[in-house]
Amino acid sequence: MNKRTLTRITALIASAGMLVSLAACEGQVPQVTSTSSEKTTPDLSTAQEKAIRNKILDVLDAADNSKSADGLAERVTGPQLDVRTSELTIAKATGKMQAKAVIPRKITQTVIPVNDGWPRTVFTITTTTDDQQSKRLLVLTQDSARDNYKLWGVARLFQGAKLPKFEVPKLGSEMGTAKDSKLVATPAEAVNEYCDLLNSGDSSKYKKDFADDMFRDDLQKLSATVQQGMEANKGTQQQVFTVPKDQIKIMRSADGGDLVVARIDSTWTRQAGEGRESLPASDEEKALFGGGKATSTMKVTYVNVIALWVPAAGSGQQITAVGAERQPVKVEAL
Amino acid sequence: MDNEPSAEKKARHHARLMRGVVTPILGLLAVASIGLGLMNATEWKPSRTITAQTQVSGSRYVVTDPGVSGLVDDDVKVNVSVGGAEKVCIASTSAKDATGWLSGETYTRLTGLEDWSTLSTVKATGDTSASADAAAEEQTGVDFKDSDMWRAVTCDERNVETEINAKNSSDVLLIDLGKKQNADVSLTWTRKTLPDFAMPFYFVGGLLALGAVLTASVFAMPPHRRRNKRVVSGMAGQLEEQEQQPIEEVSVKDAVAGSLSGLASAFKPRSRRSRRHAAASNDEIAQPTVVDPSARNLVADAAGDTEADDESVGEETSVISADELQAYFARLAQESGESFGMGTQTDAEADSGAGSGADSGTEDAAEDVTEAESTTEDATENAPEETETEAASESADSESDESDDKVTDETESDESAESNESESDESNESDETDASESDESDNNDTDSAESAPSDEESAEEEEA
Repeated sequence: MNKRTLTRITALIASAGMLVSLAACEGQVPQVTSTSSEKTTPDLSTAQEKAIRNKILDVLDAADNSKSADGLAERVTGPQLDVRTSELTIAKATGKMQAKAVIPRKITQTVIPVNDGWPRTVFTITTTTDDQQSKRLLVLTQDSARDNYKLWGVARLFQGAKLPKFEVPKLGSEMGTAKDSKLVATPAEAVNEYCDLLNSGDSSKYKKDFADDMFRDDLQKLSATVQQGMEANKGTQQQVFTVPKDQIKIMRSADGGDLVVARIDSTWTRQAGEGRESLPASDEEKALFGGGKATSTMKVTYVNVIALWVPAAGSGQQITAVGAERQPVKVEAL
Repeated sequence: MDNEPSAEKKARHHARLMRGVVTPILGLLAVASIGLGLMNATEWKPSRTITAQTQVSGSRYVVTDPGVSGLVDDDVKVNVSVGGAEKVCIASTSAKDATGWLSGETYTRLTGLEDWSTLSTVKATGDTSASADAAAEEQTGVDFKDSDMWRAVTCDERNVETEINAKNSSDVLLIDLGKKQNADVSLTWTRKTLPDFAMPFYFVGGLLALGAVLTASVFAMPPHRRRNKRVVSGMAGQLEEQEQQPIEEVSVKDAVAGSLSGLASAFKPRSRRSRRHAAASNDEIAQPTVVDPSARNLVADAAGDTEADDESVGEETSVISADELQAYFARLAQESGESFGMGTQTDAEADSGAGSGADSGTEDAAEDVTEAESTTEDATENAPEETETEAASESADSESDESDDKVTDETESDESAESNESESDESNESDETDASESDESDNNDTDSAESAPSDEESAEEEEA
């Protein structure tokens, strides 16, 4: 009994003594706990994306107002730089920007990457324009850590085109690569096949892989119309589409497929027969041509931006073009 | 009897030790504990504002490790001052963005708190693999403050200060000093929750105070006393008094207590003698002796009836105290004496007493009953006084249960001789114990002592 009490007392004293040593005036200095870096975080917050987009659109507006492409390179790059420059040139000649050049400020969806490295790509889908034009798919890219985000490409989405689902911006999406497997075709292949479709039309061997889309329909209509005119004048025309290197941006959707935005260059050569002059076919071409001297051959260079939905392998779906942009950038008389 | 004083001495010594030594120690510790607690609540209270600083040199960029900016509290005030007139910027960004910006650069990492007023630093170099043309980007890259990657950025000349909410533990602070130079970097937090060091001290102080109270009271008692239900209070001082407590009347509580004490007596021969001493007017030293009932010489017993002999075997029940049994029989004798003849009583009592004579525990009971009966019988003044007293003493032997039955039976049969003969067997036993019974009764009552021999004789005659 005595011993037990003594033991108890000793324990109390020992614990009290330990308390005294712990009671440094401030307490224990906090240590940095190594946070697990396993979970991926989006590269940008939605607030950051909005700020970036607004900065870009400010630059575009400034350029629109001045009808000069001088300040564009700060925030515009890739195919969009060529397209926008061309549009500005046309606007300077015609007095106003084309209606299709409008980019709304409000958005419906943004797809933020989670990748650690560079370059980084952001897909943003705007609302429809004030005059009920279709939504625009904006492609922003940051080439390196020391660069800022720039507008790389804009594709006008087709009416009724169904876009794939993406993760919410809080979670972020994975960026894709040109060689993504597990799809009906790698993104690079898909673009090449589409280019072949554009070149060969119905006789292309990839025809069954692709769903019909507005871009090709419109192009075919236009070609047919021009062809009629050409034949009347005993002229010829041809369009050649080529795929430049590394002008492709891909984001992986939440349901396994990829959304691919790629640049396709094309040239349209028109030869007027019977010694006629081949003249610019439209106001735009006229503006681009400027005051050049027309010859019997006219070559117009276009920049096309195509947005393709490449479904996952085994889904049984066809590759579908969901948006496109086409802009003549150069008109020359050969 | 021997172990009593030693046990008492031990108990007293223990109590003295507990109260005189342990209790003051615990009390002092309790006071000291509370005092320390008070100090921790006032003088030694942890400070609310923590400022940790360091001086960095030899690099253009300073970056905190993830989690450092929110180390003490979520809201942190960052202050950077440089010697030159360059623009200094502080940016809050994610760790991977800072890593990307710093690829190819040498920079200083703030890794944590070395102590409450100093930041710990480590020199590091960003790996060049992150960006393909890191060197090229140096020239063509955007200004620090213009980068899209920062969540927030503040710039100023010479000295820049900004407040950042560092809730996101993966964000870091990236500081651009403009060029490679020395800088003083300080992080200031205002703690919203302060550690409470006073409460444990108060708690321990309370426990120690409780321990002091307990050691002064409960723990000062020896354990067997604490467990004994008959102990009125836990105070050690009352130990001696317990033994002296006389029990005048038999009650249920006392009967139960008596049973328990009887059990205890099996381990430690408690001295009923002390109780008997208190009750009895004679001082006789009670020696516990084992008596074999079958070894008794009836004649010798009869002869030795008058002797004052403390044969305690068979005169005290182990369940009921002698006092209680005596009191009970006294009442019983009173009742039966009124309705029946005393002789019957005597025989019956003798028989019943004989039957239980073997029980050592009946000694006390026998004494009690004997006393009571002799008292009542004297009052009634029946002719065979001896038999009355004898009967009383004899009946005292038996346990109260047996006595009840026997006495009842006995009283019913008026004719003493016949009824007695029928119970000759029992009386044989009772004869053997008679001596002790009579002895006890002698001890308790002189009257019974005188009549004892004659009682025995009559019993023997009856047997024959």
